[in-house]
Amino acid sequence: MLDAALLDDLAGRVGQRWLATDPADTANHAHDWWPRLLMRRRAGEDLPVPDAVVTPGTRGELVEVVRWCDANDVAIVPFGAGTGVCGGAAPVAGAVTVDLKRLNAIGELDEVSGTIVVEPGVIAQTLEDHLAHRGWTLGHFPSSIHCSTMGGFLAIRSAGQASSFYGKLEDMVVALDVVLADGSLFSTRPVPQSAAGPDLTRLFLGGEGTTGIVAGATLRVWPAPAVAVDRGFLVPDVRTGLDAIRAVMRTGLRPTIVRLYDETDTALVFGGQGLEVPQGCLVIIGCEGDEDVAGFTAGVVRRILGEHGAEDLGPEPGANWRAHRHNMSYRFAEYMKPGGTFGDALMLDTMEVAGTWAVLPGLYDDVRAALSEHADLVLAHFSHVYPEGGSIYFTLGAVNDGDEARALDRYDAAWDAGQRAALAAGGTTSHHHGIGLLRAPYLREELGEVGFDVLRRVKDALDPKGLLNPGKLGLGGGGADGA
Amino acid sequence: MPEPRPELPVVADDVAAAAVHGSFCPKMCTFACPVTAATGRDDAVPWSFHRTVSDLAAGRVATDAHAAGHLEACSGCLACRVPCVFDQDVPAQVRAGRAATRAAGSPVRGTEEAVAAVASGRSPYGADRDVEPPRSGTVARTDADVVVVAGCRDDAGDLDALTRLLEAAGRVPTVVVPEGCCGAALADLGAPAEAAAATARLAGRLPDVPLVVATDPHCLPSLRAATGADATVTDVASALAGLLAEGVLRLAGEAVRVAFHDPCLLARAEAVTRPPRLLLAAAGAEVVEPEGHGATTVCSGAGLALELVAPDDARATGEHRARQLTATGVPVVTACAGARRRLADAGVDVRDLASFLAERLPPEPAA
Repeated sequence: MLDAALLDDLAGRVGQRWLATDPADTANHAHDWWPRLLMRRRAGEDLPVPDAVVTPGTRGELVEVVRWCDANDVAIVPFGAGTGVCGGAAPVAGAVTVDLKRLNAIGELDEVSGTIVVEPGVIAQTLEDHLAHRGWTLGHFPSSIHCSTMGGFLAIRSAGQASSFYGKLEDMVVALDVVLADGSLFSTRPVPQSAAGPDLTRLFLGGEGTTGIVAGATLRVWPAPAVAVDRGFLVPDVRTGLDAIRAVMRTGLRPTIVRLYDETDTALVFGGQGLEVPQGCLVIIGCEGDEDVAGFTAGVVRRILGEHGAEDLGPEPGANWRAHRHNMSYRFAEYMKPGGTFGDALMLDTMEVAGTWAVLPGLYDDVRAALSEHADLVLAHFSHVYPEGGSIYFTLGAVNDGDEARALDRYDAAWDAGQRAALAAGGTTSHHHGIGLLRAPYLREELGEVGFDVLRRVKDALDPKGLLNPGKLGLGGGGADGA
Repeated sequence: MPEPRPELPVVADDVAAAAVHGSFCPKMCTFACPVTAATGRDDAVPWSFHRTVSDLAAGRVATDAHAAGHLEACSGCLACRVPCVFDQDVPAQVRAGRAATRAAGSPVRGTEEAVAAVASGRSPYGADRDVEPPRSGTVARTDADVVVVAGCRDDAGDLDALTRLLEAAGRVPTVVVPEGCCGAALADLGAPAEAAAATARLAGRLPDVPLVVATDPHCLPSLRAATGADATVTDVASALAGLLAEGVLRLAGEAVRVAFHDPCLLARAEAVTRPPRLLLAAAGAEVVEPEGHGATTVCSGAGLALELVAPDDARATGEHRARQLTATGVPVVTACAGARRRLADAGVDVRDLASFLAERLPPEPAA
């Protein structure tokens, strides 16, 4: 426990109102959206709460808080909206959770350069609405866009549904401001590209607050597309779909939305609309931009899909997807709550992995098989497609008839099997959800012994006391409650 | 699950069930909440209200000042309801939670002061209720065919403008000023018994006329409870737009550009977004739409008694909205007295819809 007199001193940095220490006042920060923690909460467990939650209101206050923590050897858990799904914002005993939501200013839109400056607490949809009102877009549309902060997304190297055109969020970062463990502020220069030594921005993207705390970013933005031309296709199987998509990406054209659903997911999409479930796999491809650009790209897509024997389903599947693309996230509670749609103790999560085109079919087969050993339902779609490969987004669920302990056991077993299968197949364990506590056991194998040692040395150099989000990414520090 | 405590606070089962549901939602409506955007308070995120109220209902947290403190930062604007596929009514849960903590001796800030003010005939905001319009002839008329019920935060000039508009359209208005409150604000504060009593007092003072107009959209539910089934209870914009459509209200004015701030409850609870724009167009105004308009309008912080419960947050919410409105570069018109006051306090050049329109009534022909 943190000393009360010490915390009074911390309160002086931000004002008493913005320091919470009573468990009733810190309960909101007891977990992020890691399903394992939710399952424990659902089972009636009182999850450990942070010793203290501090909410700085300015960048200066954030710096003051970090300096205070450094001076007093107090660990820090950065906290955005608490919607990460890997336990990256889970509290640590003896640490201060630093809530960044008050740092939520959106800076001037630079229409000449196509950039905008944001603070970490900005909710992504708020930024997108702000840009849309001005005729622009960031192009970052993750399914959690309605609830997550830009700081959180930067911390985990997030990806949105339009990543095939706009890239992952890390690709949109022009410059980054980071508060280091000693409270110093590090800012990279806002330039389009540079060869001035290594790209230091990348030390912090994906760091999940273990190497520094994102205090702001300059992001690349685009004029909002004039049109979106969406089209659905039906291909006989996953492999044909992958071949067709790869051929599209090889043209050098960039559709914005590229989605291939496996047979099970396809059945869910059609069945969920009350439609007859077809044989095969659904492909949705969306092309955006000026009318001529989008139309031309859509024409090429249509030709290539046709050459691969795809049935053209017209624009309806794309329109349906756009209309309901956040519904699964909104419906999560219906499934997950006590007495949900599938009864008590449902196990439900998603696992996104990625691999090159050569690896992708085997990655899909192996991870699906591994997950199926422990889950009642496994379905997947391929999205976030790039010239050299793409991501697979698995959904896994298991009905446990009220047995929460069994749900947790199956959850752990499924994750372990799925992650090990991904590594064995030559893929990455995470495409865009990050590591947190959930994937920490697999990061060493992902990076290799030498690679993990490099990460370890970087961490030690930037945070010699190990105060920044200890335990996350498997980087030292104890007390993170991931059991 | 833990054994529930014997002294469970009273939260209706359906409200508690909705709160439990919401507490397992991944905070999806966070983006919509204006208080969260303005203040950064983690417990302004609608999910926090779900968690707090579900925990209160289950006895997992004490009904004390800490719980009450986490039921402050909501303006009742229903913005979170727009994207929610389960139609979650967060303000209803906040009211239930506030009522539970008050019943246990820990009301949210400002509650007892507001209850006492209403009991002594003043508004819950503490003001004397002597807001009769300057032309006292519009009060207690026996030949009226429309009742205008004044809200707690009305401006006498705006009220007078409304009666002039109604009279210009050939209606005979009478103004009723509730004794203290129509009940809405007290219900918002978690004082349902006092709210019901206030509504009953108002019901006893309403004349039997077919049309009741609420100057404040927040009063509409209470007025509907206070009137008979035969009466139509509506808002200012809808009432005037109806007269415009009948051809009995004529407006004229020089071309001017204005932004319309959609009052939250008008736009979302009542789905009234077109009538004010029709009226403004008829009066010669070109409407510049601000960021956040129509059903996705952004709250000024005027609802759910936020001004009383968390005045700093109400001010921040108003300032947040003011920045969006001033970015239009044109004067603002709105149709909610509470919103007008909050926005004016935040430095916005803002007019009430009725006052704006009344200035655009054609001159009366010479006798």
